[in-house]
Amino acid sequence: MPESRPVSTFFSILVAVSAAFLLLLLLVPFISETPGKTLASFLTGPFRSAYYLGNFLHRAGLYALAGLAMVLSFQGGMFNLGGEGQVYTGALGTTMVLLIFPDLPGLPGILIGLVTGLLSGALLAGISGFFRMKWNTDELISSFLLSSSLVYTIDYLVSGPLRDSERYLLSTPEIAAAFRLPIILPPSHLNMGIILVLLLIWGTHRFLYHSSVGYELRITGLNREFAGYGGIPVNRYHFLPITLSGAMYGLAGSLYILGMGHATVQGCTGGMGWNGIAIALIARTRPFLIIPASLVFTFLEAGAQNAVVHSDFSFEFGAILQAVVLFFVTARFFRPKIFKKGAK
Amino acid sequence: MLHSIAGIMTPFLIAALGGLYTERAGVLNIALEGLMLIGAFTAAAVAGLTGSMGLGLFSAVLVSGLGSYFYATTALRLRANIFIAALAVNLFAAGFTGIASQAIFSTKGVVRFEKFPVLPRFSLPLLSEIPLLGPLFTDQSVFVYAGWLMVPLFAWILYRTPAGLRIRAAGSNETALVLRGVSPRRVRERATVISGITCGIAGASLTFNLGAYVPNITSGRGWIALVAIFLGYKRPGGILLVSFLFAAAELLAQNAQGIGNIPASLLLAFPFFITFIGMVVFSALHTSLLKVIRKIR
Repeated sequence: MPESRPVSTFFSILVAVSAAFLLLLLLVPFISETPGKTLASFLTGPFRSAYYLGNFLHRAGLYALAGLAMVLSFQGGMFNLGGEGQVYTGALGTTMVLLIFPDLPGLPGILIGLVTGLLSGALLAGISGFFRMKWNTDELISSFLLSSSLVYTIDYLVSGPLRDSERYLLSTPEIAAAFRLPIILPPSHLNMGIILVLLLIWGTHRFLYHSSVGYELRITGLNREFAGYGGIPVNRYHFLPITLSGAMYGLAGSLYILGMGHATVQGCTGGMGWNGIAIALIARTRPFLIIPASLVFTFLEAGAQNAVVHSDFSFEFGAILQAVVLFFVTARFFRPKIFKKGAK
Repeated sequence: MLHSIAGIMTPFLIAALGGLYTERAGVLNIALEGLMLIGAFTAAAVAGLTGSMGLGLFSAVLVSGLGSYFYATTALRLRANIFIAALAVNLFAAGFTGIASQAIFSTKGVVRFEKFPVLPRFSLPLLSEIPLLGPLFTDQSVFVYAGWLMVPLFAWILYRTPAGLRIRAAGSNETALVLRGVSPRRVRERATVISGITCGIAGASLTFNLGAYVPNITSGRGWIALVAIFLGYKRPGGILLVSFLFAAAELLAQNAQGIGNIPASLLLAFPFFITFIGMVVFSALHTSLLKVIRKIR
């Protein structure tokens, strides 16, 4: 899907990000009674103290993982629209396995939690991939449908059968303290998970650009027919990219639970699936560019949250922010010199 | 039974008919859900404040139509990825309706209106006396009948008029259109606006049927409409049949709630799940059918 046309590419990313930024600036006076103050806190938000900076980096790390999930999917030429459900399932899977085995020692428990989250996300996405491989079921729609049905199912589980009746929130019980990831920058939420995220970004880069499977995945993503003529088992790559993508999303849910949430609260991972798409597109589906892309996006989002901190709009503003970025990020503001027929 | 099915299927049927045009013109329109939601909200706001159903419907069509025009022209002219742009429309609709609802009615929750117009229901004289099929034409709302009428109308336009020919050509043979001096991009833009208009009608039908506005009132119906287009073999008649089946499944689920004591919150998952199953079963049948045909040949 990505086509490199450096100048135009850079320009459209610039437009997307500045459009989102402008929108925030325009909205501030309407929402806030002290626009000047809100604006200042928006711009300096993450850098006010170690606490804010730590939380900012923690959030950016989770979003980077979600972005990485979409990089894998886009590079393989597949659309995984099920991120929301995959993150949520990963979070619930991790929480449940650690609630069932509360007496595990710390490190093995964390590892089992991570693997469970990864597998639950991979399984959920893998179902869509499997049907695409087997019967050519459109994965864009099927992954969305499956994920949405799971989001509602988990919402129900968390508010009903799995609910901890002693907590005020609609939430499962908390996992044992031994399973919490060590904090790097107390009192913020920034934890060891960020190192795993950086390793995964590096690993994804190695996988995509320095391994034969990664090469085949990219070639299949660029042109399925060409890949087929080249002897690549194309059908396998109807399954692999989306499953890897689901695994990353699941892991993101898992890291959220181990590092910050400690329990699956209703809607706790909402928005991460869509953010992943926005970030992967800002990064033009390159693994290393995920780092600046997730920082920029998190900054914008933190700004939005900051601006509306006194009203109950965090979900709505998050959604509009994602919408503005997504709307412009793939646009091409310069016309290519030669008109290519059949180009998207 | 049949009576309720007709009511349930109408929103997806109407939205899917418009979506069919974009699909045939070569654009997979995943923005149906968002366009429907915007239509539903506009209809509720305008009809609730003015008390006029006609004005509510008109503005729903206007806003969804303009919205789809903006989205289609921007995305197609800037050659943005159309799925991503459509995704943006869906996310925008979800965020915007929440904020607008708070701004206009000071609540993000259910909005009830004092002078909300009541949706007129009536029976069609002769048709309602047909054995078996009678309930489909008895005591139904205007929207149900509009849906019935739109199926042959949309089929006629698609297969028997130059405009329909252009829509089909934009999807199947772009070069032919270019050689005739017609811009495929324009055809796609217009098809998307038509889908915006039908989504406006479909959204309005949801609000008027309920007599109130509920957040996220569409709850996946746009996606069901999209799947109905595929499963209906991209034909108006097929869409009618698939919408009927989905509505029957939804009714069954609603009834199961009473018997099996299924909690209401879990029921929200059901339309998505049944649509997913429908999609998988269809593609499995379709693939094996293709294999059989190949063997015979």
